[in-house]
Amino acid sequence: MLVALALGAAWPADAAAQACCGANGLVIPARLRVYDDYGFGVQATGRQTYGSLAADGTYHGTSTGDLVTEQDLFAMARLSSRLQLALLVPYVETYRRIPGQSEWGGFFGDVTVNGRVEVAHSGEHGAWPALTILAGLTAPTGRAPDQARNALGTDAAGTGSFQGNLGLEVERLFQHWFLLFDGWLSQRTSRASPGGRQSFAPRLTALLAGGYVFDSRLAAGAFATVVGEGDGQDTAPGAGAVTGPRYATAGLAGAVPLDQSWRLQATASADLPLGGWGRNQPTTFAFSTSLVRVWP
Amino acid sequence: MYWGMSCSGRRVVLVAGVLCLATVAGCGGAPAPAAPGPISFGAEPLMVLPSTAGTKQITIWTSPQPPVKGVNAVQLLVADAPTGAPLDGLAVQAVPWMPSHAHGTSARTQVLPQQGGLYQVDNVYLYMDGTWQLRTTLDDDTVVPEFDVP
Repeated sequence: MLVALALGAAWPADAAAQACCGANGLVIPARLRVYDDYGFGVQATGRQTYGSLAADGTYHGTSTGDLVTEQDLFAMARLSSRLQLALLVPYVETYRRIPGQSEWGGFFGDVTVNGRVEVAHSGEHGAWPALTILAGLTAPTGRAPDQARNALGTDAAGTGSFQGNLGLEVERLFQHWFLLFDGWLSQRTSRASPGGRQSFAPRLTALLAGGYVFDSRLAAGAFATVVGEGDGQDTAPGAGAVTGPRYATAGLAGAVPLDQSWRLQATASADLPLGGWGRNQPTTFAFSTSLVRVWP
Repeated sequence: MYWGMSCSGRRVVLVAGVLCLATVAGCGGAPAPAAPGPISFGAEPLMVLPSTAGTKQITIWTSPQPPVKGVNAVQLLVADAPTGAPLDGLAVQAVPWMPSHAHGTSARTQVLPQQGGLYQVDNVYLYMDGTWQLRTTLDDDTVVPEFDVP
């Protein structure tokens, strides 16, 4: 999810150059401009864990955190002038070290389908911002950590439950500048736990992104996300309260159009290693690149 | 529609493709995780907990103590709560679980019953930082010790 958000902020290549278009993709880095019919792309991400935020928000650094690389294949299609769909298939590899042992492993992750209902395009109603309804569904096609087959569990690439997303995107263009806000609510389905069943509270995600698009259509921007999940429940005897994760991420993004149909994008981001800014979450530094082909 | 692409664009596509394939290829198996050193429990327990039903008292040691990221061992001393008498012959199972992320681990624990109410749980694999539970059943009763792995 985080990587998708990060890459999403690297979508502004045509934002100012084409006032009809948005500056961001949500959940997956697959977004068509209003005049694109369909497209596909690949995203490669490297993510290094450098610490974690404990349940009480205390930050602890580590020198033996996981290194995760991920390749996402995605395709998108415009079904009408107001509706587009996208499909994302991830493949996740993990390098893990514990005392005396290390291991590489990988497998397909959870497949996601996203839809965007474009209620209002940029410039369609004067100075009013573009407005888009966002919806998505993730299926547990990847192995959850407790279903992994490798010794150190490095072939785990899924969460083990379905997740639905519903959100809203507001985008405003100011000549070469753009500003965008995404907010959405996610809900996971429950999954079996040892001795019971664990259910989850809704997760709220907010993304703020802004940047500048040059005349050459080269774009640069920055973004920040805040993610918070309430307390869940587990029916297992003695399981106690389940405190959900919370974290904040900030990063930079850039995009280079290669020609009318191809574009190259990159982001660098980090989870903020500040005490009290997160809980129950590893902190990572991530770098991603993606290549996108669209058919206008 | 525009189907063409410049030479520089093709080169970028090729490099990106090679990078992706190289990372996809980096996967493989490994032997089962093993404890980094000999298992040793100290004199002082890490914690003492009542069972969920309240009829048992469980004294808990770990090796290493406190537990670390990687493979650990746990020793349980199970006693009858009212009398303090050790309880042997219980059916004991233990499963690591990370409640905040709702997942367990790839490794299966192994429980070794011993004399005097002692049960040793080997292969307790805690692979990431954070709070882990060891969800343990003792016949029809349970105990859930929590470990913070820094």
